[in-house]
Amino acid sequence: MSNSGGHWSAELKFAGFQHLVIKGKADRPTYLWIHDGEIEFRDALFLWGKDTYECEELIKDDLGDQHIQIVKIGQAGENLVRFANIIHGLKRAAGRTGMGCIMGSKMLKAIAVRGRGSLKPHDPGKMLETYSNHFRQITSTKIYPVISRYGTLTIFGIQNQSGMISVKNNQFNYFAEAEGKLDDEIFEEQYKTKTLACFACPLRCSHRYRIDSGPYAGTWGEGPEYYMMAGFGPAVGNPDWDLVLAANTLINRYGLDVGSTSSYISWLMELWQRGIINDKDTGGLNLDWGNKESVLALIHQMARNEGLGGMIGQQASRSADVIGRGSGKYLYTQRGMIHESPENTRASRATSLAASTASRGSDHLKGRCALEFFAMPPEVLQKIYGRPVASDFRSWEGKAWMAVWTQHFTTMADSLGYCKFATIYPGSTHNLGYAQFCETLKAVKGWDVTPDELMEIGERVWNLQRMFIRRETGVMRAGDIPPSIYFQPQPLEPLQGEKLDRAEYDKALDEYYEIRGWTKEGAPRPETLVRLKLDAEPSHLI
Amino acid sequence: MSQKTFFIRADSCTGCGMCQLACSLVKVKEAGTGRSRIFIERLVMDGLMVPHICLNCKSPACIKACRRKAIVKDQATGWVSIDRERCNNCTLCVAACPFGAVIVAPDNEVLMCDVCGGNPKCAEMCPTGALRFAERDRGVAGPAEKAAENIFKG
Repeated sequence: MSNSGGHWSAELKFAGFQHLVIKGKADRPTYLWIHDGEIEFRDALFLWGKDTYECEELIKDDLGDQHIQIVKIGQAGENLVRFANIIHGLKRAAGRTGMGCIMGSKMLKAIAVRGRGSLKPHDPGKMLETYSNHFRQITSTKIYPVISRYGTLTIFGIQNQSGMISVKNNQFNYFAEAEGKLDDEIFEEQYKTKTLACFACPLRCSHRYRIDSGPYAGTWGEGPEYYMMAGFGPAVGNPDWDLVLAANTLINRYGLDVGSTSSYISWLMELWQRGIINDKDTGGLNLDWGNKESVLALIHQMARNEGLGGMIGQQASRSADVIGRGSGKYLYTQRGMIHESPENTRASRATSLAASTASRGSDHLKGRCALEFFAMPPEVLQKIYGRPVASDFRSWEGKAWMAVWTQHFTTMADSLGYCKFATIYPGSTHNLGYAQFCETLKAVKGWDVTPDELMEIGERVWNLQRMFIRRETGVMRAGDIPPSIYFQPQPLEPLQGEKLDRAEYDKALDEYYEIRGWTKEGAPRPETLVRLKLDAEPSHLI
Repeated sequence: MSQKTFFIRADSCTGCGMCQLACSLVKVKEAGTGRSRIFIERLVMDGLMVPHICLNCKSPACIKACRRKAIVKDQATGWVSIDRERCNNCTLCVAACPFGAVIVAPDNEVLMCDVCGGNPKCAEMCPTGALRFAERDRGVAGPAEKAAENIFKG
């Protein structure tokens, strides 16, 4: 379960398709060529073993069209790395859950799409008017000048200076070395070469970059995001942009997941720091914090399935069993997936709860309750959430509801194909919300839906996912608990001593289940399924 | 009378395609890119996004190339447009245009921007100013003859 920005999905729609279901597997490397209503299976032997950048060029040459949109896997997906991504363009990624590994197992190297058709809206005039209005609304928010210049990189300074970042595998919560070095403005001045956007979006949060000097001179690529900056910055004890960017290029070329890759590397570095692993385990690599060459070497190993990195790539969170020696104590996982390395939101209650209860576990995209961080007046919060929510992010009051609300909202944004950064999700109350979603649906589909109905659709999706999780994994409440480190106090100012209290968390989780109409074990109650009209859902769907 | 035309700054183009969607919605009441009268060349590996739209040249090559006198330039406004009655979609103008601004739709119809009567939605919807509609001589980018050089200026 994953999603990605970019141009591919719009192109797929223009090619006449809404969804693709890939069943079975090919017996040799194959790629799909979808164009104007047709789907073709093509030989991908010439692409096998190539990275995503090479793949982008080779497919365009093979088909003789520069305007094809492509999703593909790199060597990481081919080698079945458990956290391999599907990459679109040079940076857009469907990440975290190993979708690239699934494509690799199907020997599906890429899906290339070209569509010259169009969407026939219910009311074209209204659609244009709505689109213009929303464009003006998005571009007149306070967050717009920042996000259109720095993208998510701007989050880094805020998180670090608030003491809400993971430093050296969550041992610390503030990284002083990054001050004045790892900074969005320095990226802008020294490395950025171009600003790019996803389809039909004014926010343009993608950046091209090039490193002009130093050991990685000549390295270029697209990205990076806050997760890259934090994951290959503080998480691995590095304060320099050059490693962040060099790692970003490598990861996108190989098709690896940023959050997982950096988390595993920082875990290995902590094991090295504690003497749990030594140079015999690492094959001679020195895993001191901030050792750039070793970080890059581990990325190469993971993608190519060689050495210690290769083992991590194949075993993922089971690596702790392979290494043994108590190493599992420092591996922070949820639902079998490693916790995202930059994420340290234990001080903010709603975000901790919402990210931990998200379907795939440890999920900032469904769980980040950004409005929590800005100490907004209770009246404003009441207006948005419709129930009392405490202004202080350290208070639990109303936070279970805030988590539920956010999960439904982000689910709806995903279902409708909105970028969450154009919505109130990143913390701008003036951005798009349910009211604007309804306007768009009216213009495009002619549907008269209300915000409450949309929220209920979000709830239905959420319950359906929970039923799927119950059927496939059986892990319910035990999977809804944040990583163990969240229950330890933070060592540094700001927010020194902050932690989640286990009893308080359990109480909030009970409240969260109660709001959802779920049992104490975290399963939807029969009457809840009846209310949501999911009681008769065919079992093959759930 | 002062004349208005388009000015392009490829450096500022993010490739978002909002101009294409706006054009398509205005002109064919559809949301798409295939029948839009503006085309964005997305050179992904080079990180270069180049909008192509009719720049209403002073001495248009497309008019010289057309064998059916189907392309006309309004002397008052300076705007170039296709006379659909006369055009047979032969694409000689497509070959002649130095800016790649004449577009062939999926059904092979030749499309050219007609500036929407002087109020083009595409430029209004451009978030970065990569595409502007301004007065030809006092405009943001100087005279249109310099357009090709100016496209790639910062």
